[in-house]
Amino acid sequence: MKTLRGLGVSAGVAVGPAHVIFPGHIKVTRTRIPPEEIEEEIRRLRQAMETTARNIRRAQERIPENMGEVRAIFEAQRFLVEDPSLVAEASEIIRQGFNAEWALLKVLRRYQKIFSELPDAYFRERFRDLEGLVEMIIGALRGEKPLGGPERAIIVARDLSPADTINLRPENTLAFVTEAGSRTSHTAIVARSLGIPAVVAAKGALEEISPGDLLAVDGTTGEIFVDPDPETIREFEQRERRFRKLQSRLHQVADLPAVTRDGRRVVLRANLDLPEEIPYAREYGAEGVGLFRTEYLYVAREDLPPEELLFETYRQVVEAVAPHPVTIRTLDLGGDKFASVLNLPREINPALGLRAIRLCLREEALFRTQLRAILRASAYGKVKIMFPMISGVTEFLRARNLVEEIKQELAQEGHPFDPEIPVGAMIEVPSAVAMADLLAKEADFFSIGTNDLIQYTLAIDRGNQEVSELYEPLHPAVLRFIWTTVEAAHRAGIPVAMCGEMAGELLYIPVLVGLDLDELSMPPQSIPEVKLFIRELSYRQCRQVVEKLLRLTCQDEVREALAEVFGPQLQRFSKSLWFE
Amino acid sequence: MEGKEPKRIEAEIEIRGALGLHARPAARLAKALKGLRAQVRLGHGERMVDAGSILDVLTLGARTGTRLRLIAEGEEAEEALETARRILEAGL
Repeated sequence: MKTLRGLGVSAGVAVGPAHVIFPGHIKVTRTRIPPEEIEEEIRRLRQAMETTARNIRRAQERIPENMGEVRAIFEAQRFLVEDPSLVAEASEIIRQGFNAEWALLKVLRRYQKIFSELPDAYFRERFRDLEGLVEMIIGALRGEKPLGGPERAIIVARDLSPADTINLRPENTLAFVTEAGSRTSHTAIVARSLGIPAVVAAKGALEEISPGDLLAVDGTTGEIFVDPDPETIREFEQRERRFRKLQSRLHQVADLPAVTRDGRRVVLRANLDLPEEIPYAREYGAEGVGLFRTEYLYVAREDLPPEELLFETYRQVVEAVAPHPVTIRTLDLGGDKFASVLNLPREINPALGLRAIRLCLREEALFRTQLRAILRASAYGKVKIMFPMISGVTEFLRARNLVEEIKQELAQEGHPFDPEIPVGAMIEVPSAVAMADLLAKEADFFSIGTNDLIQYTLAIDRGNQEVSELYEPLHPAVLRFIWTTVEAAHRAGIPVAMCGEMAGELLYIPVLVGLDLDELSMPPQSIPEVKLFIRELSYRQCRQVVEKLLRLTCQDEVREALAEVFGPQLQRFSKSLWFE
Repeated sequence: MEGKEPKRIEAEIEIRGALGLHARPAARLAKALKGLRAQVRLGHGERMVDAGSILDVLTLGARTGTRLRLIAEGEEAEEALETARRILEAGL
């Protein structure tokens, strides 16, 4: 049995054989067509285009209507497949005596040249839409069978293109595993909309997995077991039952408050990247969005997104989530993402380099555009702004002052916005913890980003396999830092949220409740389970345990103490979800 | 002479809307012109393309503020020109 780990982007579990798609490019051969067969070849092309158009429509119909963003993935292809120029030019080349595949490739190359010379990145990138479409039509010309094969299987690929997903048969697809991708990649979006479990960014998947291997995949945790032993398969059966149970109880659970047996209320919110995820957040009972990541619109294109596009996207999210609040995190990217646009140098150590708020304060024009868009969106619901990677008071005030300047600017221009918009600091850097008491006097709220806080506190790069085992959320130093932050905030009368991965893990929940966090933000699919568990806990007991944990020497002692007090309860709780 | 004289009319318009003449308005334009008895072409600099082809319209790379030449020919040239102008100037 081998274990791989990736990013769980669509909840659910699956056990089944692997169907591996090896990466390939469009490859076609040139064949001469005799004059008497030319009309037949053109008919073949038209037929393939009709099949493709039908497949696109079918793929779009499978996607629920409220998921406009997902449907839009195929929109460009749907427009282009009926384009008169495409069929006219390809037919012209066929008339010169060539096969349809070759003709399409020739047309594609011609447009590639025209598109590549356009000055604007948006238009240049439209070539990708055409390329995706031609790939689909060539697939149809070859009579390629839909993915998923005759049997039910787990699809393993480097990345799935729209062309791959269009041929997919959802009823035969147990899960997706891809080597590339992120929470916002095409695979993730399609998988969520079809309710198929998916793990992306699974390093080494194509090397470790052979066609036909038995796989066990968990789309929530991101775990993949290759050739699982009987015990693991049994465990996955339980996970599956638990998942179904929770799914069936979602509606009952969604309206319940997250409150401990002795009355301590914790607000549970969702972490989101895209407006299309809002329906899930609602379905899973999120009381708003605690972390809206804004990187997607910046990485999905070659140039910087214009203010109108940002504004429209934020407004859509804010309106859909109202009356609940949306906490928008300003751009949290490294300079490497903009090296070409902003003319920035390469960095040796990007984690400690020009990124997040540092990049934004240095590239003020870019930052101003985003802040204007956020402030304008604040007129349409309840918005909070938070700055990532704040390291001290001066840095926070510089960012905050910029917000004030932009408010005046917008007021002069007559744009509406929320003048009382809360502005908060993310606590991710140890120096911010050290300054938390003074920072709390300037900020309206704190939000602890545990992934970076743990990484910077313990000086561990989680992506580095030599040291990744030392990455430990329950390290006493991490717990003490969280406690220092919460105490400072509450003394100043401001709330503290947590929005890292730690907030979505059941084992850590009693600790976080005992550490007095006011709000936990997590992937939407984690909310029901966390909520039901909080309702089983006693705040007083959590508090007592945490006081003890804060005095322990190492993470092993912390784990032991936790297991002793909450282990049986956690087990009982998990069982109740399976069998109740 | 009898029957309608084939007409040829021209206009100049400016692209509005934050994203320029992108795929969605291009598709709307192609669809709207389909039923009309007229040929509409769009010109930008040296290039002149068929307004009925989304693909070709996209190759103009017309961002916000771009001025385009509109040429409509045929029986329903006037109607086609007005339809095109309405869509292109509405933006988004």
